[in-house]
Amino acid sequence: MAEHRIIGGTLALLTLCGTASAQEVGTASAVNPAATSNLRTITIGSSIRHKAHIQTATGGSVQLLFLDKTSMTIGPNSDLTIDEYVYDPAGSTGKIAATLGKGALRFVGGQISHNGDAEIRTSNAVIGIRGGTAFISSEHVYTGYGVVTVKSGGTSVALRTGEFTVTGGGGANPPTPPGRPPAGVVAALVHKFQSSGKQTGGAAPGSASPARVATAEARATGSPKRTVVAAVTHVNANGTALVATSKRTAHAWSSTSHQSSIAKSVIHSLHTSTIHSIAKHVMHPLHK
Amino acid sequence: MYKSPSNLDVSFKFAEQAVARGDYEAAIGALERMLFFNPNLPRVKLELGVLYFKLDSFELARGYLQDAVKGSDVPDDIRAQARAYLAEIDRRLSRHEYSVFLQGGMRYQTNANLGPNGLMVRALGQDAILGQPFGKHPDWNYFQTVSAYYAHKMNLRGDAIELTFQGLNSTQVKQHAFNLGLMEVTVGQRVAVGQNASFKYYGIGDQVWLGGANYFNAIGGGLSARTTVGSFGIVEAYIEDRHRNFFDSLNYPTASQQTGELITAAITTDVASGALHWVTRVGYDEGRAIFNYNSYKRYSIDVAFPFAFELQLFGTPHQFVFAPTAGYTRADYAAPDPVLDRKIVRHDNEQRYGAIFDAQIVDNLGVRTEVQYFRIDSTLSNYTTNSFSIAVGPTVRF
Repeated sequence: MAEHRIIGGTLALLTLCGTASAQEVGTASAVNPAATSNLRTITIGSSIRHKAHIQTATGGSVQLLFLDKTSMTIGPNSDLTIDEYVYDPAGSTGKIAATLGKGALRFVGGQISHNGDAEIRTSNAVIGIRGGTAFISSEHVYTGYGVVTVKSGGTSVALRTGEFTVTGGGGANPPTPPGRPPAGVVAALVHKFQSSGKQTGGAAPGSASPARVATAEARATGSPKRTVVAAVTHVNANGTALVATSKRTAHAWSSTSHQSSIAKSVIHSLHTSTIHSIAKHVMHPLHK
Repeated sequence: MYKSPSNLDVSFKFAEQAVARGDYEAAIGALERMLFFNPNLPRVKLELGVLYFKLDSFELARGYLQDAVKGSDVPDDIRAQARAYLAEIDRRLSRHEYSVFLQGGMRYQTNANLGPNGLMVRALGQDAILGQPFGKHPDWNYFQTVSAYYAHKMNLRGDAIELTFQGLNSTQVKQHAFNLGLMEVTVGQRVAVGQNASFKYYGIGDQVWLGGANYFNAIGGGLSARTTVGSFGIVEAYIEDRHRNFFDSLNYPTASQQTGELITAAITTDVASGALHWVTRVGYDEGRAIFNYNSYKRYSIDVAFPFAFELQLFGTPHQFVFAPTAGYTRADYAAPDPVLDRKIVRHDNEQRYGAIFDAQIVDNLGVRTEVQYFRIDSTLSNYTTNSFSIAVGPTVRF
């Protein structure tokens, strides 16, 4: 029997349709707008089960966190069905397949996609994701990181980091060649999957204030100034990034090392030339 | 995290652990959730921008960083970091990328003419005494160096046409026979392989002047392969072949005997872990000269440990890099040189120790000081030598 869950409010409707399978595959880790009433509404922390059918209306959005740490954010006015989810934590393998009936989603890969078996179907294309992140809608696909294959119209293109393709024709047209996204597209994608206005993703109002976030990060890292990304960047004592300086320094090092290598080769031959010419023309044999 | 996804402590701990093990995607998922709870978190947007930057996803990094600095109440330190990354992203997304490093200055060498340690040497199979003018002599020189790199990017995948130029000019105060001019140009195509690796095939052209005369020129080619090692750094291997044509001159009347192929193979690393950063080069050179006694096989290893730090001077922060260096080379020649000794084959062992100190004066202007000591122990006393040098001069990099 179908199971319906509705996100309340006048702007968003979210339903979840289950099948006979009751297998839990993940959690709704953030939900907009927050559930307020009605029948089986998804709220933050709700379990997501196999064959779930999720819909959002205008202003609605949800982040799903799967068991393999795949994170899928479903934007406003979207319709997604989890067709298949299999995960073996012991081997970090499995399969995830979903159909995006309409709207848009952001896919951030977990263990399953690292092994190359994540697939999203839209009305225009079949998208395979190997690691990384992807922004997917019926009209286009953008690869945030990793390798994404887009198949439609009997043609397949591979998108690498930062590449974009347009799909259409109900699956009859091939995807456009990989290229840079049009101006403004990436900024729009960044905004599309964030909360807006006074939305809180289902968290208690004020619980994620800048001060509380900073305090939580300080507790996690053990230092008020340290950030969770400090391990991947050069940060000065005053907290400013060394990004540009470090690049120039690295280049200077690299070029100096190369130059030194050439110079050594020249000096090596010079040493031979010097000693040889001295020996041939200038030395005075010592008679014993 | 599944039971209580809005618990900030748990999410940050998860993100920190994910970054530590190099799983940036997991960290991205956790930080994205923060923006679900509150979209007005510039610090979190900055961190997402940094993570995407590290994944070479520059457009997306720019999206988050621009978003991070939009508000009027963004803290100054976050704004400064975001702007530094944004400037670097603009540079990397440009179709044309270039960088240049220039240095001029003066160098003092205790043995500028590479004279042997002692005046007793070998000549024509006998002991011989060198004339004093050919012993070790100190000297100063004025030098200028330039290293330039240009890439014309063909796409976002890392395919590019690359051009490099290395130049060195030094003018001795007294030992004019050792005035040196050197130029090397390489042009080639870099081909991306997957997300984090590439190879490059390229042509090489060299021109070297010594003592005011043409010393040698060379033409050749190379093949290199480069890959990142997780988030730790870069490993690159290359093999190059040059045909060198040496020319005799008044000061070097037998130089042409070294004409022939020079094959070089090397592996370089540039790796950092925590505060420790090291750069290494392990190389093999094989010189195949037309005169057999000038042919050799040379094995070398060099290592440097650059340590970058910042100091406040006169109220403003300045960047410094101090790098101790060390190296060793073994050179085995193919046959005895009859001019020196028909029975003794030349084998050299060279040790090198030094340090480089870079100090930022303002913006991209600085001063570099370099000291180096080397000693060569050879089976032929003619080649046993040592020298100490110190060089100092201004630098410009852009």
